[in-house]
Amino acid sequence: MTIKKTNWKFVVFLTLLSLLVIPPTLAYADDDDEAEDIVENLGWVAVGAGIMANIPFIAMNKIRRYAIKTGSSTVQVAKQIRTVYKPILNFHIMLNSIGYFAGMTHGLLLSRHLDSISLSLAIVMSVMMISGLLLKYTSSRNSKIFGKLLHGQFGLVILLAALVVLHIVVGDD
Amino acid sequence: MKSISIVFVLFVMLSMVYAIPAVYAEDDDEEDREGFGEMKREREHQDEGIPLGTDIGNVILYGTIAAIGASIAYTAFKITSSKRKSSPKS
Repeated sequence: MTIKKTNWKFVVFLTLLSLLVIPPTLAYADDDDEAEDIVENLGWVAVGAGIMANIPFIAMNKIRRYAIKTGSSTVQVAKQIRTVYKPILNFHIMLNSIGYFAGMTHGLLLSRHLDSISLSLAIVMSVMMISGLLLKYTSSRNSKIFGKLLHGQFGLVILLAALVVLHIVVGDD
Repeated sequence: MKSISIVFVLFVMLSMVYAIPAVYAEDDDEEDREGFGEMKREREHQDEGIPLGTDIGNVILYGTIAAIGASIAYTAFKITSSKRKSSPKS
């Protein structure tokens, strides 16, 4: 238990240390075209990770709900999906975390070109991430329900997708 | 006490993560003001996207914040209403 706790603290410390070191060293990224390309590619990494993490997960949940709703013959499908739920959930969490940190690094390094769409996108991403963390790591029943309802809000998902598309369209112009 | 100190250290480190790049970027801006080419490049960058403070920019930003606020309020309302329903009537 103690070793586990120490490892966790060590991982947090290393993550924060790397966050402390990377932004200042790449703060001049805007000056160099090649470096700017790399930072722009971080945005594409975030978009790709988001698509890969969310589309299979949402599709799986919809199929499972549909299978349970329709009745006895499809319940077997729902049971089979239940067995792969945990690995797909872990995949969803891992890729979304990668996407979030890639997107935030991309935003911080290109903060000179900050516009309202990027800021809105960062706010929505953070809300989704915080509600996901709340859902995963809190033990209180109320905060779990709150996290679940907020994280699964269809409106927020649509808003996030619309902001990503707008950000790409406006950024390309 | 220990948890408070950990939270404090995390807060200080996170604020440094945000403050250091901003300080570097500030230095960079001063250097950019040397020479006509750099000024032109700066102006070109300002034309990109929908800048903060413009009408459309404000609509997008405040619209997003309002949507988030509304969804949080809706979630809280749903929880409280379901609690009220489940609790026995006196």
